Amino acid sequence: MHTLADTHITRRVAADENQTDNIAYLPSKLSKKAKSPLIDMWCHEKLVSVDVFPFNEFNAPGNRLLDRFPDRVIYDITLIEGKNAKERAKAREVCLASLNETFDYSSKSDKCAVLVTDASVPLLSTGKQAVAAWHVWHSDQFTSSFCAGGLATSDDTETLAIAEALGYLVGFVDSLSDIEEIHVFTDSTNAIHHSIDPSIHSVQSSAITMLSVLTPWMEENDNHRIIFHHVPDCEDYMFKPHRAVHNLATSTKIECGLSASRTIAFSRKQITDDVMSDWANQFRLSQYVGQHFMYPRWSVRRCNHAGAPCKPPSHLNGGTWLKDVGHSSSLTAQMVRGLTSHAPIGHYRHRFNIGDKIEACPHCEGGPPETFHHVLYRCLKHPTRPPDASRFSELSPLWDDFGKFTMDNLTAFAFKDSPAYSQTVDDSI
Amino acid sequence: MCQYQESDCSSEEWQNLRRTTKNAKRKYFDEKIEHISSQNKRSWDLMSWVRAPKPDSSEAIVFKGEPCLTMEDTWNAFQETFNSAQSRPTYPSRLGQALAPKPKREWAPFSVLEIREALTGCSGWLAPGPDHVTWTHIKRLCANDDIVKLFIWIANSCVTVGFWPDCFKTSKTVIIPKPGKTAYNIPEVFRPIVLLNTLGKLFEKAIANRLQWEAARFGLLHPCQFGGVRQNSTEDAGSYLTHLIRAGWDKGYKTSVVAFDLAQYFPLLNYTAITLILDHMGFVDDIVNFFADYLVGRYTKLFWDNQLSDPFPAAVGVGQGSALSPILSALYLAPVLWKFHTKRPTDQLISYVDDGTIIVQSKTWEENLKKLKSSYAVVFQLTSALGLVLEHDKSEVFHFSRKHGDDDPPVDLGYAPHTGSTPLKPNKIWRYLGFFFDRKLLFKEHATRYARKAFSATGAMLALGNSVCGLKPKHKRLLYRLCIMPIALYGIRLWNYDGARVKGTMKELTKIQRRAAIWILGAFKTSPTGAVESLAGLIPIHLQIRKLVYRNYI
Repeated sequence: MHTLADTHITRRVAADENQTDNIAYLPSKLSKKAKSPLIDMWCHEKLVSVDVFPFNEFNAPGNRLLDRFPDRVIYDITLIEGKNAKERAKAREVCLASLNETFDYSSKSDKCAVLVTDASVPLLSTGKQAVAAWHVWHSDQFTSSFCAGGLATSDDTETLAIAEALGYLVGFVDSLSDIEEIHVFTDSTNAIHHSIDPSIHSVQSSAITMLSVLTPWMEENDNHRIIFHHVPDCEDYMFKPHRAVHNLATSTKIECGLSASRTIAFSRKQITDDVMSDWANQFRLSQYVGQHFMYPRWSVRRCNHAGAPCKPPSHLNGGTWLKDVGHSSSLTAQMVRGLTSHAPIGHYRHRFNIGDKIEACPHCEGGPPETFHHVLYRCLKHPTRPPDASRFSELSPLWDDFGKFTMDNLTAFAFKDSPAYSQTVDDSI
Repeated sequence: MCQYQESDCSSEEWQNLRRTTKNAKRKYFDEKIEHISSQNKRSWDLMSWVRAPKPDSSEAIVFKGEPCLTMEDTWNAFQETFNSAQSRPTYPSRLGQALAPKPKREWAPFSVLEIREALTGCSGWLAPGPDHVTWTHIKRLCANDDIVKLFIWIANSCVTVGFWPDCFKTSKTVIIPKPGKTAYNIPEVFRPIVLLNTLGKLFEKAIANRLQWEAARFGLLHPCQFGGVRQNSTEDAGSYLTHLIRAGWDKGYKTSVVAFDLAQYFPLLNYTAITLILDHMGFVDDIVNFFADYLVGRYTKLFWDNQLSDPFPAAVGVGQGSALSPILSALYLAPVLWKFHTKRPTDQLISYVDDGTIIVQSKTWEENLKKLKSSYAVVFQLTSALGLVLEHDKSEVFHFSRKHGDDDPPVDLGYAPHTGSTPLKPNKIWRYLGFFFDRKLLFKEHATRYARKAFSATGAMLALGNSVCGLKPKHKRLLYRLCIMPIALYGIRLWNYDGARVKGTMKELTKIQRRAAIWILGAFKTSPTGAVESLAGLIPIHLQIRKLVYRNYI
């Protein structure tokens, strides 16, 4: 709703009190009992506190900054590429050298202004706001400041930092028209693009503030240009001016309070996060996943085998588990049948009342009951079994072990191993 | 094979033959599926395999009561139907104040960025125009800065000179059947889609983008226009209508609607009226002159049943398929809506391209019927002033009421065939923009219909793969999320709001998702819903809906 134009019907009805006095569809005239999709929308208006202007004057096609002065907005974005760590480190060093050179030259010059910006976004649970910080350099003079970013994502705050720094520069120098080049150093490529993009996005208001300064400045003189430098992220070779800003941003703590602004990107993220955590909670219930579901566990260190946690389900990148096995139909089927214990094994047949007791495993001597744990850890049919079978045999398996097991034993949890089935159909796979 | 079975072969030979053909078939289709999903990366192309077959086009087209036996007759039949508006007069002066001239605005020359942005949305798979240049070619050309500058120069000169070259005016019109009709033997059940030359379309897109922006920025369109306008969709129209009805109930009003249809809408747009409207709306003179030239002297070749006709002149209207047609048609209709709302301030008229709906509210049905009749007359006058035709026999009436067993009176619209003794009777369910409205706004019918549609689509998709062969799980998942979910969740905003009763529908949707998850994973039919859903990486449907609806609030 916040991204819609003022002329859109959902906003129009909410805003125009006097437009129509005949039909009682205006929200203020309705009783509290009234329910409708639009009323719902107006009730949730406070999810976002920043308004967006989709059809603002800076966004007129043909009249935007990038339409008019495409050559005078320069991006200096170096991608750190390399086959191994050594090559990447070398590329980073080259990049840093060029950044240092530009910085040394431009921070001392009268014709240039330098903005170094960074942002820090604390965890939501800390109750702190995001902080945007910046340093401004002009003819070897220096000043710094910071501001609160409200509840926002990191890209939002980085963009805010650039826009605020430019506003700070206007107050810092005598006249902006004497400056020919503005150099911006930031560590977010998204922020670079967002900061001069007047179309709909989460921090459009920052972009509009920025454009209202830049557009007249660029119109003044053909030599005026803005250069965005991307600072690569690295622990060892840090670009020193940027590290100073980084320290300023992270050391500043601003309490959240009730009045902190909420950006669109933040609200979107939070809605998704809420949904995901609800799903994760539901996933823990046996009513949802079934009584015999084996939660595949995830162990980072081999030694902490027993305490390894189960990953929460996710819909991203093809699902938490499906992304590993989704390339093969039979592997997926084996995996699912195994984990749900709904597989052609004795345990399953017993559950659906075939036979009085769990059928014995046809491959092992002594006929132990054919359950999930038996097939995975003990059955002699399968030569490769997960390690540490004796210690952890009653726990649900580690995902890696289980994956390896199914890949090695293509007949496990498939119809080929099933005694009753194998006699009738041979070529099921 | 039947002959072979009937001949005196042994049963063993017959079994062998069957097995071999089955394996060969399976291998062939597996390879094909693999090629489409993994190499082309276009799994959704496979969905055409599971849809109903195309209608038969062997039947002759009946035009003016006589079948068209030769190809010539058929072309003429199509030509006359699609261009039936050529001699229709327009009286824009009747629109009065709604067409009052506005101050002129400026028009900046095109830029490289605009052309490149217009290109980003174009898929290389779209059908090219008569010169066979696809978007892929244009994209290659536009990678070069000099060529883009040349293109921009052409586009800018077109606008400043007010001339649209003939090569952009010739087009190929593909005639495709409108879906869901019972018989395909009259020209009206076909839809002309115009394929234009790609370069011309690129410029059209850039111009359309600017028209859209100006229309939104300066409020040229009426807020109740939903079709072909940026930031508006069918769901917006549907939820606005739902809001009006429910708010009316809150105040004790009864709501009645009449839906009408404009016949052959796109071909009927009259070019003198369009230029006049654009001029009065404050578009710059260059653009008005440009459109004066853009809309005339067009030639098109009809394409039907794999045959291409000789070029026909297409003097009137904008073709469906041109990037400018949505915004031009919206601008064309805007004065009608402005005028209607000033003339009948108590009633509402909402429009979605060629579908219009008159909404009236009052305390009694009698008053509603009176209002409907007079509003319909106003709409008839206004649309005929612009040379548009109302299809009276397609009009529908519907009354909304929460009261059990409330009256459902028929309406006399005052135009044949709905006059006097043959009034227009309301149906039990009203279909509008793909939503199925019931009298009490429960949307039970709507939700079940779409759930059933999605369910049968999931069932049909079983043909594409199982736990052994066919599509891979990750592609199956993609297919479900792309092709089934949008069907099942269409119109979600209308029926899922705070306080609505949705338990039954949620159950239906969960069933669909469970079935799809089992198909994706190749799991047993008895597997628990939660386990298969989570392993397949599908968010439980009630959470998915919450996510969609809440994100819509932002």
